[in-house]
Amino acid sequence: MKKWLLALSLFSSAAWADIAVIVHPSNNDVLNKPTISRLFLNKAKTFPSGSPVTPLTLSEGNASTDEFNGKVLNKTSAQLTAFWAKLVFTGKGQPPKALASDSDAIAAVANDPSAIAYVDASAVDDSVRVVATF
Amino acid sequence: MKTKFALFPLAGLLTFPAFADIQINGFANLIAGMTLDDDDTVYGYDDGFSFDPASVFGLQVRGEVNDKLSATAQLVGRGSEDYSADFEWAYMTYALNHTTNISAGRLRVPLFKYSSSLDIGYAYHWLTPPDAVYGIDFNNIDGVRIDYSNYSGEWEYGAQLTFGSAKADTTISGTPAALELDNVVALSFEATRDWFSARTLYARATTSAANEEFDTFVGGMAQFGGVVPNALTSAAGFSVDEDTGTFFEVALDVDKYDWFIGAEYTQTEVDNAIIAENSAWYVTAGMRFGKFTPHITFEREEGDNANQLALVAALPSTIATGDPDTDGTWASIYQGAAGIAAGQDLEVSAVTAGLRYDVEPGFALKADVTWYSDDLDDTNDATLLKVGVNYTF
Repeated sequence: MKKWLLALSLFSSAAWADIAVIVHPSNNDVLNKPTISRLFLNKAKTFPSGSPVTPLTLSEGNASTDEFNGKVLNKTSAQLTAFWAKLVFTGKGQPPKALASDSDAIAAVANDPSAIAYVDASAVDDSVRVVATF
Repeated sequence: MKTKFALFPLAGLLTFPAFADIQINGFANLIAGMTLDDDDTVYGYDDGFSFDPASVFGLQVRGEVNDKLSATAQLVGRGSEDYSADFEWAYMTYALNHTTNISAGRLRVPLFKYSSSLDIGYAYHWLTPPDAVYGIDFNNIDGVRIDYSNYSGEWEYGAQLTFGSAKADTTISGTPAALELDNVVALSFEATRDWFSARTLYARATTSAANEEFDTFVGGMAQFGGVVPNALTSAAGFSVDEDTGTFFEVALDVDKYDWFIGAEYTQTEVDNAIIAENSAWYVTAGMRFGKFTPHITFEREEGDNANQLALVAALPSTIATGDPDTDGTWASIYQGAAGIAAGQDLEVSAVTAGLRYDVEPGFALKADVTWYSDDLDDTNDATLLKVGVNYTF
């Protein structure tokens, strides 16, 4: 029985790897979940410090994308598509640029002080700063 | 020829920076419907399968001139207009700061909760929003809109102020008329917190509707001003000529994701005109089971013609001037007025049950059945089946 539970917990931690939200090392903002959600949903156009923000996402179908959308944005991919459709067709905003991989996202954030992105926590290196994990 | 070809790469180089910031998006709602009984008609459908009444295709192009200024154009083809493509939106937006945008041109008036995404069927659960509330003659306006949005704590809130004028086709007592709205001012507020959202709008406009047949009739009534007391007042009360129209809307929504419930209410009045006071509302609810969203909606619309009936009641049904022609003309004008005023009465309701299936992000299949009932004349009752596809990219 215990073995089963152990196996189950191993399995679930493997299936639900942590997501790290990353920014440029020069960015000292402290960000909580509602703030991060606003930055990714075009509701806040700047970091709390007032500097401009460029959110970046990972592509549709990436496991981290589904997890970030669910845990941080509280939306399924269908809901998020509907959300962006509304903004796009009212001229209020465009969805963030989607990058192909964790390494692309880390490279983009390391080179852009305005960037914020999420990656699989295990992929993070010291070229970026982790502001939150989920 | 040679020169032309040589110019192409150069032209490409020159225009590239501008093209780099152009976004193209599109949507398609292909909706087919039919009434389930012979000879029944409702919302433009009859007992033959038709794509025309509600199918819409659109393409939006948005170019960013710079960080602050953008231009948006939306080319829309509607089945109801033989898919002839029209620029329904064409406006420029200037971002004053992070909370305030100013747009000018031809743009959408945010009259309803779903106004901004009215043509984006993918954004809501029905195939088409409830006709009782959303069946209005115009949705776009030539003018200026100021959009403000901000957040505080857990609340997100916004306001829109719209000015402008609009022209649209309408009907006055059953015949086509040219609706003209001038000096439109609309102010709306909205607030959202997690699963709760609310919004409201108040608008007013100088309303005119030119219709030759009706205007001739009203003119005929006015000519009796010298003979019939109140004929001038009643004629003015019938005509739709620079009368003040007001529109009020309120909507509430709870969306707990697994289930949702929403309601919207609207009230329209045009002072001193044949158009009856109109109130309409719907309540809708649904549940989400993975990719399936079953939902149900009740809608109701009422036209209150008490003011119009009072104008008729103030008139004598017959007069005796001594001239039989004059007396006869008046009698027929009176009969006509009574008929038109009575015809403004409206009491309709409908129940819609539907299912949405999300195939993939941006692509949904839907089926709705609507049981429409006319409480004043049940020969107008109808059952409507619609199936359709919503796509957005």
